[in-house]
Amino acid sequence: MSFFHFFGEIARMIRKIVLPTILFMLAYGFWISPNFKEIAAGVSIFLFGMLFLEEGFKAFTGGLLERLLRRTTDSTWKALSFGVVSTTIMQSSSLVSVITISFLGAGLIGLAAGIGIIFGANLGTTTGAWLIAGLGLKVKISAYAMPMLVFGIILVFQKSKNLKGFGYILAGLGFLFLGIHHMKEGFEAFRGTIDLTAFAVAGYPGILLFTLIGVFATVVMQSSHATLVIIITALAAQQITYENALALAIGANIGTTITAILGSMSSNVQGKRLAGAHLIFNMVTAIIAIIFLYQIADGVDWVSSVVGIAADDYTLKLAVFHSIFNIIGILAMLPFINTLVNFLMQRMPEKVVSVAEPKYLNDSVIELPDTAIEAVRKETLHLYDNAFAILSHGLSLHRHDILSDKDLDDVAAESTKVMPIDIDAEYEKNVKGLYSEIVNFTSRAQSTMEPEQADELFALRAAGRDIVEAIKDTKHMHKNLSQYIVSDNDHIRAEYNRIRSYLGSVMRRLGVVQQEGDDPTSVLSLDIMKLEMEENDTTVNGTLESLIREESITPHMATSLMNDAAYAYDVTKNLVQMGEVLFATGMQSMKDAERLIALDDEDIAEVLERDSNLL
Amino acid sequence: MKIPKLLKRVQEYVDADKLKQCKRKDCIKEVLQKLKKQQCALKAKLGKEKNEKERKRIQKALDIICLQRKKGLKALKKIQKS
Repeated sequence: MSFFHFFGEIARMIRKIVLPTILFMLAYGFWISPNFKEIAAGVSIFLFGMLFLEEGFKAFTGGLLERLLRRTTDSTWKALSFGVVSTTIMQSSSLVSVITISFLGAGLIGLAAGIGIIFGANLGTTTGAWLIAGLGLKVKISAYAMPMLVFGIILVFQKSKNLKGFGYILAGLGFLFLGIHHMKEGFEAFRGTIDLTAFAVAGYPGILLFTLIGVFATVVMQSSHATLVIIITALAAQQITYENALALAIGANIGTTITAILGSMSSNVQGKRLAGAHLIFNMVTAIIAIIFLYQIADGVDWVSSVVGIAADDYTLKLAVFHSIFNIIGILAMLPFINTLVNFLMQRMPEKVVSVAEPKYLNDSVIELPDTAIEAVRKETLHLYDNAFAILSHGLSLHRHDILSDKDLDDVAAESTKVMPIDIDAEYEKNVKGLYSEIVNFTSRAQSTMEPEQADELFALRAAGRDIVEAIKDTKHMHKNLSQYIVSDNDHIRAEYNRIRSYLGSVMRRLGVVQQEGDDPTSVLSLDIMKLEMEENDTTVNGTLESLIREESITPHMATSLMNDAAYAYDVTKNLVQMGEVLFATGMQSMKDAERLIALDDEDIAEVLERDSNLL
Repeated sequence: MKIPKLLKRVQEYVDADKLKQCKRKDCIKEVLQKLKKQQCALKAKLGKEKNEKERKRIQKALDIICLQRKKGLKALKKIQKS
């Protein structure tokens, strides 16, 4: 998208100039003021705590969060509530945004649901202001920070993933508290030397100026929470005026969208649409808040008096303001959510991609292992879909006939016209590129995965290989098949039609299993196909013997049939193996259970032996 | 919930291997239940079916399910023992 490209260029240029300038200014500030140094150190510790907190929550994204997210796709209100609750718990709207973008990129949720979550996250993030203003400044927070850090770090060194996750969260909270403590101390000491309120600007010029400062601070720190905590501690130390603090909070809200925009850069168009929605929502909310600032401030006074907040408790009033203006934003934007979806879809149209280009693999999903696995699964299904056309046309069967409920023996017998297909060219055009992308993505994604998750990724990669093998086997079969389905020899024609009908039925049944993906026993039903595959192989060999003996087919035909029956066996085996991996959905433990129960070659041989003994 | 039971739950939660085994056990149980239902349905169908070809097909499916259940029960016992 040109807007994102332009924005990316500007961001890169600014980053080059801004970083050295900020470092220089900070160094100068530390030299002239030890209090400023303490405030800056507080902000750094706070941001470090945020990183720990995000790391901790990432440890739990391997299940619960994804399951919850999937259930929030059916209604806007659910999506909104999920955004509020998850951001309240994780205290990071950025993390929720990035996860939502990656889910959208992987095709797990729709745009409307994603927008609902982002709206909710905006409200959820305001609870941070309540916590800092209500708890952080009223209680001696540093007293809790130390034990939290000690217990947290001990847990971080534990083997268990859950304990490690708890450790990161606990240590993260400890660092947040410690950061707030240092900022508070710094601003209080600052009060004795410099009065920052001297720089306060009254009226609308002040509002606009401080809004811009809020945007800038949040863009630099990549955290609206950090900006808010500075605003609240500075406000508590009476270093900024209440009015300017309100403007800073509005600015922080706009600035926070930068994280989502940066996160969407590596995502597909869906992720970019969501970042666009985030920006529009926050801009509209900010414009409303700036225009009606004094009216909203009056509303804050009224709400504060109702809930019992003292008239001079400006820090809590700022928290009330932060919540109120986000609620106003949600109320103003919620009725237009579908209009917003349509607008974004029009402005950022889906690039018409060739069938051979990946739909679900993008860098935004690579960081979340389970989402990455799901994206690879969907992409491999896409690969199978492309392969399906090649396989069916290679058998001179129509795709719609295979997927219908017509008798495939009749279809094969009636469709005697050879379909012209260059399997090599089709493979190069529709399969090879996509398969290479899957292999490349799985190699990159596995580096951040647990061994079990990496195993699942390898299984999916093997499923992709099975699809490719099935195409290659079909290609080998194709030459003889094209020749013999129009042969004058009834026997060889019937045998090749039998192969076509059999492979068609395999693909049809795989389609049924794919449709029933949610039922764990549907994948197990593929075991019947394994048994039939072996029985069919024995039958073909028996028929072949009698056809040669009775001289119904020439020796040349017999060798062709022998080879092609072996290829048909391999195609079936590859497709069944693929189906076992690709059509198994749900939790990893359920997939493990299915694979544990599924019959292997030995079990199938046991059934065959028992059957032959009965005969 | 009583304290020993609560402690056991907490222990299971923090012990990643135990938690995994527990989840796997629950999943195997769920699959086994579904297979049993399918088995009963197929048995009833087999009783009513007259067509020999169809009877053979049902019998084959029953054989497979029977073997799958046997395998599943064996795996379940192994997990319970460990």
